[in-house]
Amino acid sequence: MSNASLPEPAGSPLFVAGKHVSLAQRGRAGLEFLGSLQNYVAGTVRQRARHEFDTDPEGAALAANWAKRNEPWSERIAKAKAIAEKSATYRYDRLMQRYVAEEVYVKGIPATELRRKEAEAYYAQSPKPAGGTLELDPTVPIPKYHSETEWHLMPGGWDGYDLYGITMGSGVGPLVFARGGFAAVEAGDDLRQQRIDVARQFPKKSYGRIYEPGCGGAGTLAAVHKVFPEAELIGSDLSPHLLRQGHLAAERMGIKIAFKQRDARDTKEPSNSVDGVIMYALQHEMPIDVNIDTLKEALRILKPGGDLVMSDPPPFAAVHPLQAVILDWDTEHRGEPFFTVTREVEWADVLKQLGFVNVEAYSLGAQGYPYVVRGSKPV
Amino acid sequence: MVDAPKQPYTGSEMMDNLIRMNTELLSELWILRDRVTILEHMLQEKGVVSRKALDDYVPSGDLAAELLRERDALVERVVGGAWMQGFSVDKLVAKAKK
Repeated sequence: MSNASLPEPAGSPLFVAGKHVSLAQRGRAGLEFLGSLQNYVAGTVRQRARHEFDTDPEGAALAANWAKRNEPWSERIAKAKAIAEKSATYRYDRLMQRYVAEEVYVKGIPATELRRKEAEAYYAQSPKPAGGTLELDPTVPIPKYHSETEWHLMPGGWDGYDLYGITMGSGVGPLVFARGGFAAVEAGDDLRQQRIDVARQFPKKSYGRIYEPGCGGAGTLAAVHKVFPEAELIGSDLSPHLLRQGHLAAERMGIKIAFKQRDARDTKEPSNSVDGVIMYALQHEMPIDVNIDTLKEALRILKPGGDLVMSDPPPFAAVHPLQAVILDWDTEHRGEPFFTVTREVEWADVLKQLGFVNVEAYSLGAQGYPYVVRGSKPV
Repeated sequence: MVDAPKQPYTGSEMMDNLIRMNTELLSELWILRDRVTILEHMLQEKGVVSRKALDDYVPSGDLAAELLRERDALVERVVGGAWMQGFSVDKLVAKAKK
């Protein structure tokens, strides 16, 4: 598990001896092209597809009572998909989305490989310590759903290539994904600002300890640090590569974070020991039962009165039917096996059933993303 | 190993392939334009050739003839590709002599 599905923006500078580890011209320009392509397709072509959907009488009727229909989500999505696929514009949008999703690695990995020497020098450096720690635990069982998925069409998954940190940090993150326009992220969205906006959804003015399960790298905890600079930060993940990358980035940014290799369902933290838990873009990367066990674990480690803030793509009920089709599409076409099942659930209801109080769910963005669900442990 | 897509997105495998080829060519075009722009910038910075001089330059003589020949050949190859009428050694040799 890891929230790096929404890759870290260019917030963690990759420097060797004061020089940025940048890709060579072909790789850089090729990825920048993909950023422009995705931005245009999601920002313009898809708007045309949306217009075509809304002007189709069947589409308009479906959109009018989308959230209230008495049908299973699979049937609603199938109907919306059938309407969407009548449009050549929609089909072109999907082909280009798939093309970009593939090409970020097809172009990005060879471009990274050409910089192997500089990349290895980057990893070998000892940054000025910020006091953070990295605790890798090879005894942590890696569940199959994690190890057998090539997330986001990433060959080999999160730990499948030793320089993925450079591919994402110097290439795909700043050159492609920073421009938005993929999955639930709208074209032009500022990913870094979105993480800060989500961190601001913690209801109190200050926090002692904040824990992030499935942290991936340091992106979300760096945003939390910006909002709550005094908070002690702990992040865990299953991926040793992402944890190493996160540790190195955090130390470079001067942010003290304790990174631990843990399953989110078994953090090994004492009960009632943290003031806040944040989960960013994690839910859709775990099966339903793992999600529920992760929430139970969050409730266990939170102190009475402590707060949970979760952000993930919105549920199907909270978006336009075409957007629901687009979110559902990721399941089969962009290496997101749990996208559909986790979007069918109203997680606010689950939180209440598990014993959280003051539960709220709402969107921060106009198209439903970022979507926030938050709640507190009873006092 | 990331698997190939499961279906043609446009409804036609050939149409998908053509769009992918076209997009890849657009990518190559951009990579080249990016490089030429950087090249012009660096040449100007080093005082070798100014971008204004490049803009103002009007090809003439042998260079103009070479550009015309290459341009027409490119159009014939790309646009004419859709109307390929068969070929022979004679025709191909004649083409090389154009």
